Amino acid sequence: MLSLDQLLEILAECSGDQQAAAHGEEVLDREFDMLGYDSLVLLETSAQLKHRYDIDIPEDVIRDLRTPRAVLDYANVPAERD
Amino acid sequence: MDAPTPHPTTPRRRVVFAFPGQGAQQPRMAAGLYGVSPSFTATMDHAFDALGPAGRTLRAGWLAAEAPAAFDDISYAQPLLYAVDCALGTMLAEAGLRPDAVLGHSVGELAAATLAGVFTFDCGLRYLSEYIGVYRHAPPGGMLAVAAGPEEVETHLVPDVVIGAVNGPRQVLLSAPEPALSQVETALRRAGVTCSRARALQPFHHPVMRRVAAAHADALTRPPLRPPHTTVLSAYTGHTLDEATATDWRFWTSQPAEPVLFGPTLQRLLSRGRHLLVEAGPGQSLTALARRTPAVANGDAEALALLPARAGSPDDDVKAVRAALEQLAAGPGAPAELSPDF
Repeated sequence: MLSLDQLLEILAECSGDQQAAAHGEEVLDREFDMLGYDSLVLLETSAQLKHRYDIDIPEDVIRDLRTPRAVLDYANVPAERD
Repeated sequence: MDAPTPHPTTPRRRVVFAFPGQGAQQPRMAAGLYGVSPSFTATMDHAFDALGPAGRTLRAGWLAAEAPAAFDDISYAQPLLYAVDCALGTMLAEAGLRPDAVLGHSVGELAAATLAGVFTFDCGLRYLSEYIGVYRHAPPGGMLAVAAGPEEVETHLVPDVVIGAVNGPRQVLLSAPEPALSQVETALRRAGVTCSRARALQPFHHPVMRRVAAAHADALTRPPLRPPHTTVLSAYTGHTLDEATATDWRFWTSQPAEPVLFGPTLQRLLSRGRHLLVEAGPGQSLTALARRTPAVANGDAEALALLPARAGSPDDDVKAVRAALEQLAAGPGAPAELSPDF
């Protein structure tokens, strides 16, 4: 299971956030655009998810996931079905 | 620049307009405002008229349901970005919002300087027409966005590849002619570094542009430039433009060969006092960069985009502008009257 905190940590690192601004449940449904995470950050996040957690979200899929919740849903639902 | 003067009762924020450049273009960008906002429409029509036959092609390509194949080429992207940036800045001024400072990324800096009175709009358009004529001779190439800081990227550079822009602590744009661009992209991907081609077909902000300009730019008589009436932050110098630099044509004509230091410039600006950054251009790329700065994270600055992050329906443009203006009007120190001209 990928947790929200794990995802936010990766996003912050990938974007070079010096202070993690986004945290807590309230960011679950905020769009990445609003959080300042652009497509390059999401591509890097896709690479890091694969590298650290062996979670595979292809680049063309993660581009269309708009919120942290969407990423968590994508990452966690298939694993539960297995 | 003035030292920050904290004011406990009226925390007026300095309003900064930010204008995006090459790479931010989208088919039909801001077109939902065309025919809706009188000031936006008049500015765009002025540009198309001033550019003559090329202007008609540009207008058709901008409004086409399916963008022309060459949309990312200098001939479409740059004049359209310049016109749209200027038209949005003008529309904001019409709405009652005056910037305390302006800055832009790449060709966006030309728009910023136009809003600040350095160039007249006509003069900027003439310069861009000439510029397209010169830089269409640039070797094919482009720019590559890399998710890494400048130091980390340095270790991967191969001959002919330079850092064309520093957008943030972990985002740089490499610039190179082909085949060097493809080579560095392959090498970076092999090393596990995330990268993505920027929407550019020429190696902007690369020293090769100096040779292109030397070979193709005629010694034109250039109209005198005026000192800025509004503070212009330059992403080339990293500082406020002084009068001598702002009115020196050589400063402007050297820009295609010089790196854009947008990230460090933005960070320096936002670290001094309270700011409200308003992105006046297609997409939200500069807003995204601003939202990752410490100043926005700790609440000293706020960043807001006028238009949607991705191109949508014409209605989306109109709704986004209305929502942005409402948010601006609700903020501290907002002008008494702030309403769109449509």
